[in-house]
Amino acid sequence: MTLDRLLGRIGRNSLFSIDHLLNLTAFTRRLFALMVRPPAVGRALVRRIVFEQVYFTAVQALPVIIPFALILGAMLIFQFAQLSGPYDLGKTTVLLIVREFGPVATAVLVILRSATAVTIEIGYMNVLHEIDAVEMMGLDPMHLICIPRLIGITSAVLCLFLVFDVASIVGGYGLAWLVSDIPLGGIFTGLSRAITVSDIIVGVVKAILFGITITVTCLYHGFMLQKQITGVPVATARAMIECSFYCLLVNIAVSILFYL
Amino acid sequence: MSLIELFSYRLAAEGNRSGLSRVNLRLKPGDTCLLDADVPEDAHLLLRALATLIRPISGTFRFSGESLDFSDYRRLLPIKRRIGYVAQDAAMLSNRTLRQNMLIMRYYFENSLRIALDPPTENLSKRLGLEGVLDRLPAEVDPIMRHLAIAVREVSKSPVLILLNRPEEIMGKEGFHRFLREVPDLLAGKTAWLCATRNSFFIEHCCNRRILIRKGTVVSGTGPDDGTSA
Repeated sequence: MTLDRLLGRIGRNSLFSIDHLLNLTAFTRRLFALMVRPPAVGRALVRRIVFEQVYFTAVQALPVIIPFALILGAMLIFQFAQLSGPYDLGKTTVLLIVREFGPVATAVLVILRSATAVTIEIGYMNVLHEIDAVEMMGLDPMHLICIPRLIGITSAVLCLFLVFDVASIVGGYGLAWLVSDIPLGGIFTGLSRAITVSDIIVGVVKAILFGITITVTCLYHGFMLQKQITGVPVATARAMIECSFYCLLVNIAVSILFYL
Repeated sequence: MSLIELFSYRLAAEGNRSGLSRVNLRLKPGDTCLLDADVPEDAHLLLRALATLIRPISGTFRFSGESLDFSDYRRLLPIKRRIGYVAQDAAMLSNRTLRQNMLIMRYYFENSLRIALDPPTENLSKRLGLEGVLDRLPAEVDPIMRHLAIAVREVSKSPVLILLNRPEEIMGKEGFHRFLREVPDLLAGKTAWLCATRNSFFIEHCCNRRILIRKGTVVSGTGPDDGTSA
């Protein structure tokens, strides 16, 4: 009896998870179909919302992400410098900051700062009938609400990833040089020798995929909310956890694809 | 030709009520109907259904003679655009000003952000006392003003059907009176109205038909060619 219940629960949870993943995939597919064949109308309005989204997600995040990148960069360079010489220091920095740490840290910051905001915003729009209002105007919420956020957040993650890498390497090196006597000479030579085109491509690919993953997951949770205000924090928490998990999966998948 | 026809329409309730069943209803252009329900939620449910905001359990919805397909929300958007809906749950986008909310449809369909309110909408806003609050966000204005602005937005769509639920409560008694006085063309023209209200001015001077909902069914209609059945 207990085994039956256990198997039943495992089965139900598995079906629920598969259903959820299929819904997310269908949602993503519909968004991309809209991006590939956008309606002839609404471009000016969508463009404006894209700019607003880039401003909220990228520009307003700079005062948070730059100090964060500086502190983390300095901390990592301190530790790497004690382990390796100047040449290896550049190589280690590329390996860990550009390839792995930069995209993941940027994604985590965007999830903490903007993804939660998007889920809450869409959740409230849903609960307070603003999505209905958009539809009553004859406008497609997927085009007016989702597409600008998808483009805006993905572009913002890409820009923030570049800022994060530069700030953590250059700033981290500067901070480490200022406050310690660790020999750091030649780090940039080492960096330039160690970094390859594929490292930059991998970083960009990861940033784009993270942006898409974060936006789609958050929008989906916002739209799927039942019309109850108490559902908003629950949906936000779920969206955050899922975004983080999916981003880690994407990170591993891209790293394996390019480096193994 | 009828503007809207519902045949054997069944609607699930929102909450723990039993919903509406066997709804047969026909609305023609120019009908100005009073919706009288024994339970206010039933009137609200029917109005939401007519606004195509909720899917039926079963039945047929014909708009200008064409059956609506509820399986894809995108097919309903051109229909929704032609229906004005003013109720407690009608909303504005909270991060846009009242003016932008009134213009958003035109921003979208005219593909430009450099357009101003057209003179009729601007004049209607002025006469309803909205002039001073048009550049404020919805949360910054009184709920009555907000619903008046929603009514202006819906009227500016040049709808073929206007649905109102308890307008005297959401727009205020005086606001609803002013609104009715300012839209004589819509009242006398081919726009159909369906209004759940107890406002005596609307009942005595505007409506030409009465639709009754009793125990979850549209039971009768009065007035010329009522088009409803039990």
